[in-house]
Amino acid sequence: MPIEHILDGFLVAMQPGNLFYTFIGVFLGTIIGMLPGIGSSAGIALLIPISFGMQPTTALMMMAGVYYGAMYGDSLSAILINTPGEGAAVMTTIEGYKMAQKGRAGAALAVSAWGSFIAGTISVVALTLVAVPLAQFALRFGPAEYFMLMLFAMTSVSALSGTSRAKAVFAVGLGLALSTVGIDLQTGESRFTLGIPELEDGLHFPAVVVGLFAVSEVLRGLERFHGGTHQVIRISGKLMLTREEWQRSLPAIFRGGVIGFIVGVLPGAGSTIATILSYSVESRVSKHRHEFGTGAIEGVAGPESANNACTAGAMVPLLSLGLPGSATTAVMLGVLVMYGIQPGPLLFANQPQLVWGLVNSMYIGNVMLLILNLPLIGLFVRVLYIPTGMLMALILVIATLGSYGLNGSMADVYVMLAAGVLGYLMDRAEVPIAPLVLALVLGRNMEQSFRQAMTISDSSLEIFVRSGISVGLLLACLAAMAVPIVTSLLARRSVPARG
Amino acid sequence: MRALPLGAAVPLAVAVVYLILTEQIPVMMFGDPLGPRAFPRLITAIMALAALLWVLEALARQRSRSPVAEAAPDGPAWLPAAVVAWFALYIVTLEDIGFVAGSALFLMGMLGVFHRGRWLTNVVVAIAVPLGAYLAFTRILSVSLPAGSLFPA
Repeated sequence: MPIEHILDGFLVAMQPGNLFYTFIGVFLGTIIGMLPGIGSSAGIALLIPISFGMQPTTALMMMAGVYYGAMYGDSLSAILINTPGEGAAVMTTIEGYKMAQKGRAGAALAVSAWGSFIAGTISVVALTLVAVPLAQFALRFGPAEYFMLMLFAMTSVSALSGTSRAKAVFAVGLGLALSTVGIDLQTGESRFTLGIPELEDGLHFPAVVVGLFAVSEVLRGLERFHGGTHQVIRISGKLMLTREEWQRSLPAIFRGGVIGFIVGVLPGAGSTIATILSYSVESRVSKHRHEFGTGAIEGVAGPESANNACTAGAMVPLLSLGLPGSATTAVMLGVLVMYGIQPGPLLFANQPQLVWGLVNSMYIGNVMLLILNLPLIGLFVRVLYIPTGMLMALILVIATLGSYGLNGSMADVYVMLAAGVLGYLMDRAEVPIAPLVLALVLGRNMEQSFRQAMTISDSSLEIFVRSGISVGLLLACLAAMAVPIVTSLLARRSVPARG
Repeated sequence: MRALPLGAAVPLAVAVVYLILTEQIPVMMFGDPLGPRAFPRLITAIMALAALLWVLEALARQRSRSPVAEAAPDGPAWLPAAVVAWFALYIVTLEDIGFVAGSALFLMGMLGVFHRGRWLTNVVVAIAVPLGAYLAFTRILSVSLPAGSLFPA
């Protein structure tokens, strides 16, 4: 264990400038998480312009702060207005909103903050222990193994996204197709640029994700807004837990932390699945099972902890393999690449200060979340009173500003608009966006790995089953494809059995 | 008689257009043996697979008589189209009008519809936010934004 690197990382994270921007990230992330309909992916994408001119380490610390700050902020809107910003807070809505209706909003918010802190701490320690061995193992990977690894990531994300495999596969194809726009790196040929010189560099990732997430969410949000407005429940009760509530919550927090971390490490599973698993476990093991559905505190403590732990778990494959497992980590990868940093096994050896600074800033960020969130809940709640129509209009202006500011080019703004319309249409057609984003961010590397492997093997596909690692990854791909088929068959069998 | 799963036409159409564009990529005599068309052809195959899966899923649904519930739009259908049109107009004219004036006009239009009746608040927000953002980005973050040729900020 590189103790000196971890200590160096702490020193980097504790530098005043880095502390300040971690605070800004956590603060803005909490606000973004609270805004109904705007998730962490859109939040990170929208905040990219603020990081212009920063050191890469500082910018990444701020983005990571936004990521887990948004996870907490999401729970505030779930508890107080029964509106989860992202799927991960849906489980919190079930019990948290019921607690709020019963006058225990303060306790629900407090357990959410404490659960996020404790589980976040567990998962950051686990991240420290797991990431280095994984990165060392990944040093054995050649182009064929990397290609198989990326194929596995896309297969598992497609298998777990939405209800239709066809739509998920289509989203992967679309993302890969978009990644091929621009100059071919090996022959210098221009591909799919339609004669537009600005596209020769490829589609700029931040412009695409701002469109896919922020603009499309605004279009959906304005539609929903037309249907009505939300009612904010006033925070009542102390922002503290009673002794009994602590006793009920702590085991749920620990279980949620472990579940969240493990699920976060797996590509494709993501925080929504982590929270569903945690809720399901709590509803079975709790001594107060009968309270579930009416405001059981374990039903908030477990999923909220799992949600936060999942963010640190997702950093394991991202940093050690360069492999994002969800839309938000795909956006994080895009930010890393934008700063000229290629995540992967060599990152730990070549830039230990960046990696450990980032990991330790997550730990410090968790402390900040706890210190910030409980005293400032009253302030954060004011955000929920911003009129939706005004908020959505302002987001479109910020999205335009961010896309233009990337390179001072209108081409990026047009790309953002097109991506926004595409994201909206995909949402309406129930085509999942996460596989598209993952394929877009990994597409170029995947193509390079594929072509390098084929060059090494003299155009023989046998290279993809030559090593034990490749075969293992191929089997993992097949298993990921089989999971939805098996679960649907099991579900079909259980229906007549019940009937 | 079974209805054709029309949704499958979308990935198929995208695959066909993408394949046509792929076959137009010039191939050089040097570089790697696979060339620049190989990976896009693989992507075309993935899209064709998506179309096939789409048909199979639709047929399976028809067999089990469980049609997918169509998600009903929450608001009027013209609303997103109108917002996109207004947003596109804002973007197209941005370089000529400038960020501050263009954003102020865009916001006034949006707020006039989606934050109706609060004209004073709307005017203040529509002017103050773009002006503040312009000053912050150009003066503090050194990010260039369109100043506009008609009404320089």
